[in-house]
Amino acid sequence: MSRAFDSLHPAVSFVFFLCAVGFSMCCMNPVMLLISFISSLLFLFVLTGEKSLKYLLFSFPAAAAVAAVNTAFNHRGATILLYVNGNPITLESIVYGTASGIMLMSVIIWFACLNRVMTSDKLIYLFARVSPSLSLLFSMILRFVPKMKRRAKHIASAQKCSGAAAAKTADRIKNSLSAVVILISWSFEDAADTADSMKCRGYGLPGRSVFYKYSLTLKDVSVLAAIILFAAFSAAGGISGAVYVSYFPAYSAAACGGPAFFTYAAYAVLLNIPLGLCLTEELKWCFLKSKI
Amino acid sequence: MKRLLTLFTAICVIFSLSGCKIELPSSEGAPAGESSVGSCTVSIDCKTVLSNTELLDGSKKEIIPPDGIILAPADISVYEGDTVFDVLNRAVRSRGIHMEFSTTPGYNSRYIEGIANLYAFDCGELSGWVYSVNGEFPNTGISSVKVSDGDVICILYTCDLGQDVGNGYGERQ
Repeated sequence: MSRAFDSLHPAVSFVFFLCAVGFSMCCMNPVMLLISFISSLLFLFVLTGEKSLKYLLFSFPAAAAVAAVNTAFNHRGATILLYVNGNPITLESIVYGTASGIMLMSVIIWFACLNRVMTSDKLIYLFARVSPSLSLLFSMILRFVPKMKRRAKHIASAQKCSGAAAAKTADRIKNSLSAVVILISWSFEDAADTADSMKCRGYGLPGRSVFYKYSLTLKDVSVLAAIILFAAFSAAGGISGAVYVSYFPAYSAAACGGPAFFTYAAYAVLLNIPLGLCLTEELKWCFLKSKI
Repeated sequence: MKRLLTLFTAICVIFSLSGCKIELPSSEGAPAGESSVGSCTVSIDCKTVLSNTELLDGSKKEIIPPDGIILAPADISVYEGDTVFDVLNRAVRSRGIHMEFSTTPGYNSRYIEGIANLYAFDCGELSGWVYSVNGEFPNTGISSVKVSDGDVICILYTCDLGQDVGNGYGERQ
């Protein structure tokens, strides 16, 4: 795993993810959707390797469901393909559903990246001074699901060990119910433990230092400046209407000219800043190794 | 894989049990094996939008016909037991005009949400589709009025709760 983006100041990475998720959610332009989707996937691949394919596989059903639901319940659009129960199924609603499915997928993948980069200590570093209890809660929530999954596995294997593995469906249901009860009480206990132990350490008191010391270096500042610059370019393109699209009643888009290409380019650069950092680091390392 | 297959089968079963009727755009929705008992005239217009363009939703500007007429008076066959909704549905189907409606299952009543992508509330908060039969505005739902031979049915878009198309809904009270 590349450390180039990881080692940046947490505020810089946070601003990047804010931009990435925000723009991905707001832009329904198909080109920008694809840029966001591909960039998020590439970044996740750099961060996690083959595991990124698993995310792709899991987020795909969500996207397909969004597309299907939109097609079934949204009857707007000029091109009628079929009638289901008298109401039209239109090409535009299928296209719009697919677009929002891709949007959802890229947002899920950006959040997966965020989970890898913004570890709980970084979140606490960022927000502890603003609101100690909220930042602790936020960091606990973010790692809650993976932790719960791990624990569910533990409980299941413990149940198997103790001979509770049952062949009958009724017994299996009973076992899984008790597993859920164990899981919930374990999580409650753990949350209370965490709160107690943080209190014991004086968490939230003034003058408390942090585990990692991050300082804003020149590199951080320049990356932050690049993020803000390209985000401003993308936002300007979006506000000026250069990349305007409308899916209903018929698909229509702003004329594909210079401003649109400029916005696409700025957006692509913005979303690939972390990828670029990781790749340059990788290349530098290879170059240095070759000299030894 | 086995789970996915089960899920897929379950969805298919639910889909078929829900009684979805899938039709191609070419089908006109005429009841099979019945002969018509007459014909009526159906017209659809949204002329009121032309005088309220400042209220119109920006994305809908291009779909409004310049003269406001979506369907010029057309002869539509009437079958036994037809309601205004059935006749309207047949008219828009046979001409490929877009229409969306919602159904309240218990009463089998229909509500016209939009015709030709022009929806209720697209032109101000008092806008929507209303209908008249022989110049009268029945004060009931579109699927509860029976059509007889020679009726003149107008489907009108109002921007003012019916006042601007001649239905004094507010005045009557």
